Amino acid sequence: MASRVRRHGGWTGSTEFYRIRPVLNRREFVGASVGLAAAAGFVRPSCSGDAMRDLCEHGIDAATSAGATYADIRICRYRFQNLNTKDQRVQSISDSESFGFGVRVIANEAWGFAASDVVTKEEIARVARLAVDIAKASATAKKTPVRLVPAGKYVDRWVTPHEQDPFEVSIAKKVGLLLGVNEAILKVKGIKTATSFLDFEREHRYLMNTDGSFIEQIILRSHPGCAATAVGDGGFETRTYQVTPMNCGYELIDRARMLEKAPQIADEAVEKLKAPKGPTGVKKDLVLLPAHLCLTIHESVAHPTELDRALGWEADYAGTTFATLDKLGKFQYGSPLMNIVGDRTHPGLRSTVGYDDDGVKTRSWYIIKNGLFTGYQTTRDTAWYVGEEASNACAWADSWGSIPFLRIPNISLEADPKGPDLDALIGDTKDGILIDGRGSYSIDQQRYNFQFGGDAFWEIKNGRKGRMLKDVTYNAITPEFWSKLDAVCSPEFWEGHGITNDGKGQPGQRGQQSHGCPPARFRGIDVGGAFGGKP
Amino acid sequence: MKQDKHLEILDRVLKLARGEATATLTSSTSALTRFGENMITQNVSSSRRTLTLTVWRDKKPGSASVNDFSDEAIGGLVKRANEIAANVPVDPEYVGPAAPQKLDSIPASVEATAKFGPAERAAMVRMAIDVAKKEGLSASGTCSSGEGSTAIRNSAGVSAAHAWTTSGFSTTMRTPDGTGSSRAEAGSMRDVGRIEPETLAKRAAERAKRSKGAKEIPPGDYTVVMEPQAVADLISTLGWQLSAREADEGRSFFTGKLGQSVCAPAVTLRSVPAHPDLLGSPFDGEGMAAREIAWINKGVVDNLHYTRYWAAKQGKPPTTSPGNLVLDGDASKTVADLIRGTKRGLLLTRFWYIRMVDPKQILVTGLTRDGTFEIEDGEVRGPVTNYRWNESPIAVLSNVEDFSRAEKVGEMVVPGLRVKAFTLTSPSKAV
Repeated sequence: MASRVRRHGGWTGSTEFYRIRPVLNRREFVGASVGLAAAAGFVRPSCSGDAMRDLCEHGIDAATSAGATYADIRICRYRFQNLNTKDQRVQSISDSESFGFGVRVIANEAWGFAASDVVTKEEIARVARLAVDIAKASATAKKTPVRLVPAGKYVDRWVTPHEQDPFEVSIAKKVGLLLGVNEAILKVKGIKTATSFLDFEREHRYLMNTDGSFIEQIILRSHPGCAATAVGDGGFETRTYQVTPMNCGYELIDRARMLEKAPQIADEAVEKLKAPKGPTGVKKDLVLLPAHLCLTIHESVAHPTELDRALGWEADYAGTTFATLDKLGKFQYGSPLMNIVGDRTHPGLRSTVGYDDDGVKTRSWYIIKNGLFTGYQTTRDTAWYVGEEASNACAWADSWGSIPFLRIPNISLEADPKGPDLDALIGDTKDGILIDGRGSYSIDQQRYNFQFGGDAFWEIKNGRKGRMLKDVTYNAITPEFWSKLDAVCSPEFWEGHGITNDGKGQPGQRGQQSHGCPPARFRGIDVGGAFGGKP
Repeated sequence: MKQDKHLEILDRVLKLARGEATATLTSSTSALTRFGENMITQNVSSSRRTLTLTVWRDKKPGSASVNDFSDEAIGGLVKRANEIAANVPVDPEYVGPAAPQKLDSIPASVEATAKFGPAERAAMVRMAIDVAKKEGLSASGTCSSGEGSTAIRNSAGVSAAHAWTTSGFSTTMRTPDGTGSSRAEAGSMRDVGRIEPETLAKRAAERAKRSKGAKEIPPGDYTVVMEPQAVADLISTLGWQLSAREADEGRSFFTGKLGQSVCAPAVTLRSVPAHPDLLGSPFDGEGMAAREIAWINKGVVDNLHYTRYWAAKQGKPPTTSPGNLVLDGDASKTVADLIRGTKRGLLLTRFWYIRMVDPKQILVTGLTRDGTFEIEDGEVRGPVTNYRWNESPIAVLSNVEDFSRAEKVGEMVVPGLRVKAFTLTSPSKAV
């Protein structure tokens, strides 16, 4: 579930963008990445692989000596850098580093986990023993023993393919870019406020487990964006340039070309303010652009197909799902044009890594094929519940201090090789609304009833894209909505937009993933319910 | 004492940083035992520290944080903050470190909570599971406990520390066929001894069973009795909207409304950090004193939130951010009294997935969850299906007919309400 963070992510531009061409082969990765590892922290030089292996072994030994039948340890260093600007002011720059470890164990057939940021052998041993105590406490309220499907044994190193390390780019350059973008937005008459931001993350992770795996990964993430707010007679309206967050380097920022896009964003904010309100109490054909459809997929397809949710393990927080176990392989989720792929391998997408936190090599699989529900997202401890002997590698923790559990991977709508281009799709639509970007979003606790807004809306009348609208929402029931999918554009229009704030779990964790799709059309959807129109 | 040690670390940081600076140190250990389908599914404990430094160099700010207190780490922290300050323009809204203020002392630490361990948490969880098994239901939920402290020092003389403990218990009870569900929670409890897991479990179980067999009702406007949990869910959205600057810049519902009446005269909404049921922090991230303040007083917008910069610009006193919200109620009434006074209406247990739709009117959308019932002639009748609604907390506080006694709901203190014309938009099959 996307959390209430006041930020957006998306992109309205060329799909050339999403074809990340790995610039180095694997051998070169390792060479180039030595530089990366050395620059890893601004606090202290990164510990060597050998030192990490030693600390990991110490943790595993302490856990197994205390009675664990399975154990894993992650030692991670996180670096976050976020720059936020508004008008001509740098609102904030935060640059933080966090280093710590977490030990996860199975003892007496139940899970335990403990974590600390004092990274010494002594503390690792103490925390490993605490994790085992916690597992033994879990076992006092046990029903079904924890069981893990097998995973391979891997000794490997994986680094996010990238061209330029974002942490090597100067603050001055970043600030200059953002203030320049704001200045360009503010030049447009009617604009009151301009905001822009840059977000970078590096996760340097070491994982060791009792299957004999020892895996090092360096995940790099980048994300820019800007927005314009127009204030006037109609009140105020904001238009956002949603550049999709990706796992890559600073090259994303260059390709986003925010400075070039700024005037258009500002013009559209002004137009949106003057635009008439959207229709209410009627049905419209909706053409949803990828920057918008990304979130609809997230809420109505990705969350319902989390296996732990179907097993009832999220019931006290985000709820359960209508996609119950008995529906697997039988339920028609949507029209035959609906082909949904889960993966953690597509280059540059936000959930793409080499291995998950269960030590499983990442892969891709069908969740929905020709509209039929065919697969869940799984982890080692959930896969066997649906008779699978291998996990889909969805285990992930958002910090050294949090427990790995099932997180949404990249989940994408396949393009239609025979599908129309966007102009032809609009040309074929008689009475519709074109929707771009993220706006309001809300869905019920079993993922049936949802209501979405967007960032920008245009009328489509008799095949022509017309004037902008504002205050548009649409309501639907998930499987009914997807059954009305009647057109999916061709592969050149596919874009991999991402989510950076997927909230799940107790205690809550933050997930990140992409939901790629081309533009698509849904026929006869109720609009305007939020503003008083009868649904 | 841990806090003395923390203040000493901050002292070291400020000495190395020199010049204008603020440093904060937060340290916490939090543990949570999670259960689902009548068994413990996850069980975690995590200890972490964060040391944050903000410096100003000729009005240019730089900020960084680490989670290590070694000399090396502190050296790296100062270097990083300085590097950022050297590469940003002069801040046109520079205010610098806050001046020291007299701070309240809020005792928010209870030893029993700090000592609560995995065995004790598991015992609480088993109580709820036992209730579920007896009633033929499936229990999910959480039992959490933890402790933490924050210390702050700055170059203007601010020096303060605050410690707290916190605990919570939640449980959702569901019928085996998934057609009945309800939930009960005790959240943000400083004293774990005041949590009664069996009472909470029984309340959720009883309501879960009564929520089976829900009938459909048409969309439209309804008189509703909202339990305090639902009121807290809705009113918390108001807390995000109280920025004076946004109002002054024409970007908020509250534009032009300071000093104006916006809802019923019986409505008073305050932040009360030292409320005995809340025991919040006596200071904010800048070291400013967190004081009691009325945002809405007898229906009139008395105050909006002024940051130090905006306050100086507008010639108003600064305020701390809205938190620890308290909505006044009527101590002489219970929720049962509100129901008794309802001819025709609905009883709402809580809300879910509330999100902003239109900030100009503070229009939000959300769903009902965990027990929605018909009220007729002052009595609760049968269950009805859950509904998506679109409403504004301001409209709700304008349409309020009656209040019950205010009680703690997590980090708020709110009453139950009876409200007319609550807009149910579209039904949801979700349970």
